[in-house]
Amino acid sequence: MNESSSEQLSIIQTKGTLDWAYPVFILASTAAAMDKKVELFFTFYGLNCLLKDTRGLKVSPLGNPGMVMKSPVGPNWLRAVDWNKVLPGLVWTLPGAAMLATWGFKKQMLMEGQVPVEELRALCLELGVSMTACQMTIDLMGYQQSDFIEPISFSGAATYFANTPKTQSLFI
Amino acid sequence: MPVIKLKKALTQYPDESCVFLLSLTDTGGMKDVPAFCRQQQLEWVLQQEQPFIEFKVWRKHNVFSGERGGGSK
Repeated sequence: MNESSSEQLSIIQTKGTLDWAYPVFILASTAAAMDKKVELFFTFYGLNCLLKDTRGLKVSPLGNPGMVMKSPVGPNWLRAVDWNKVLPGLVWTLPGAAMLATWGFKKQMLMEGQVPVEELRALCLELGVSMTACQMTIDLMGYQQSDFIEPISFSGAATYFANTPKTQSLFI
Repeated sequence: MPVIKLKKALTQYPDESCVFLLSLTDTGGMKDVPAFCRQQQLEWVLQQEQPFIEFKVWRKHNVFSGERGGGSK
């Protein structure tokens, strides 16, 4: 391992929501495009980002005060309203609120020229990003290795650290 | 996205003489494309800013011998 730390990036992903999946895959794909060696380590809820079935990747304004929630459709005055600032938090506990927020988020991302998250992670793999799922949390949460996309590896934190001793790490 | 699409186009057309034309709707590309080019040792020129951003990118040793488009959004 003789690459300098500026040529490597590693991200530890612990979050399992759509708004946390995007930044990790965007940073990883961009770094890989710039010839950095990229290692992603997924643990706890971050495992959601690697599942074949991505229906579990959602976003909700509930307990997420930083989220900007604007309508992707409608007249301009309506699209300017940030519903997460205007409506009381209690509204987001209503059935269907997370589904609506997820729909709006996905639509907004596509309008910004981004691709769906499944495509983005496939792009990461194509660009040579290596992804590791934490075996301990897979067992803890009752997943099977077959639930995950390929090609990824399965190991524990020690293997991850042994593989990335000098790497600049982001913990997300 | 523009940087990733440019990288894919660069891999797809490894020929030194290729010139890539980028059209972007992403205004972040104004800084990202030049930064990417600096890091990847590419030459670039900003062709226009309106109605959309357009860059011409080529490899350092090439002197515009031939043109080939590699579009990117």
